[in-house]
Amino acid sequence: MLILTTPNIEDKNIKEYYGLVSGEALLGANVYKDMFSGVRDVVGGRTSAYEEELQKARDLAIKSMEEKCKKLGANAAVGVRIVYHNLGGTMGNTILVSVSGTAVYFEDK
Amino acid sequence: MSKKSLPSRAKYFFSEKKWGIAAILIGTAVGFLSAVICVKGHIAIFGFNISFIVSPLIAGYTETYVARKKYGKTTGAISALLIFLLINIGSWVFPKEPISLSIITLGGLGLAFQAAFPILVNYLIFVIFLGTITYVLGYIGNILSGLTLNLTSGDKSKNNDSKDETYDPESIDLSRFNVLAVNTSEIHGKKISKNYGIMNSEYIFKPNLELYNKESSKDPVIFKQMEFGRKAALAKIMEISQKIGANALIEIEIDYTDIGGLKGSEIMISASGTAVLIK
Repeated sequence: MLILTTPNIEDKNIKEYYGLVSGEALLGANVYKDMFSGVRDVVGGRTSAYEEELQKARDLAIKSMEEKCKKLGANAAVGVRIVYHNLGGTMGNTILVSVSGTAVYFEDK
Repeated sequence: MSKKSLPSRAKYFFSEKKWGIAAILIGTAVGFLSAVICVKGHIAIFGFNISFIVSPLIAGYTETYVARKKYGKTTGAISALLIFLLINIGSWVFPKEPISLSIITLGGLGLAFQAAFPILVNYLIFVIFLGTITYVLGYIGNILSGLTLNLTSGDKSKNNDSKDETYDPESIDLSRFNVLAVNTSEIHGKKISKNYGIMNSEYIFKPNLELYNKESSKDPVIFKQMEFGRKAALAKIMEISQKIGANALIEIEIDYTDIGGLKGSEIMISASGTAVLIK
């Protein structure tokens, strides 16, 4: 499955458009991890606990989008955008990773 | 450089960092001098000698000033910490006049601690303390708004109940609209013959965060709500597009926004795109 951020696929013809697809994942940062990354910020290091969690969430979101593409019969997703949102106000400890793109079927020229 | 012997490496280390070390020493000396002046001159507020607060600060500032001028970067106010430890050990272990534990002493200790560990204390104050206050205020505000809603419009909640709360994404069929929805700027092999302009729609819902907090539930309710909201927002713009004669929507963007103040109790899903006629 091709996942592209560009609107077209180089050297390929897009035969059919299946419309918008999207996938999302929620990342619930827990209190202890928050505290820990806070302390690490003070000490001065990379908060890799968060980065790892974000990576996992992004992979999950893309995977769920891929599944939807497959269900429609598409073999690629073009114009894919990844956005991160902080839910829950100032105390927000939930991060929503959402991926959306257009499911297409492409063939060689 | 790694082949160098240990003494020469130590020499290199000291020659490189001599101004940094000098800054720490100067800071410590100045801080100590200020402490001596304070103690000898009996400069005290309510019986509490101000050297506890002032000396680490003076030491830290002096060190940072010297380090910035000569060393090029800050050294992290090590002398402030040293002076803080020195003064406290000196006054707690060998008290000339016994220190009584009162609010003023504790406040002074707190300030001395703040002078020694500024970043840690600021983190405690700003993140944890203010965070807790905002949370508590938000909680009280939610209760108050709930109470006033119940008092002023008791029948309003009934209206909410009648609104579709099942959030079944399958109940919205997007294929019934004869509109192609894409988020790219062009459609391969097709020409845009007419532009109808921008289409907007929003869907607002209250997220159900209860189930997602439990580790056991694999498919949280909020996912269904999101899917439902997105489909509802899309259906709205697709319907309008079809009505005005367009057969495609390009450059669709879906945005999620938190609304409802500090505690952000509602989520708005907005969809916008350009309605066009393709051939």
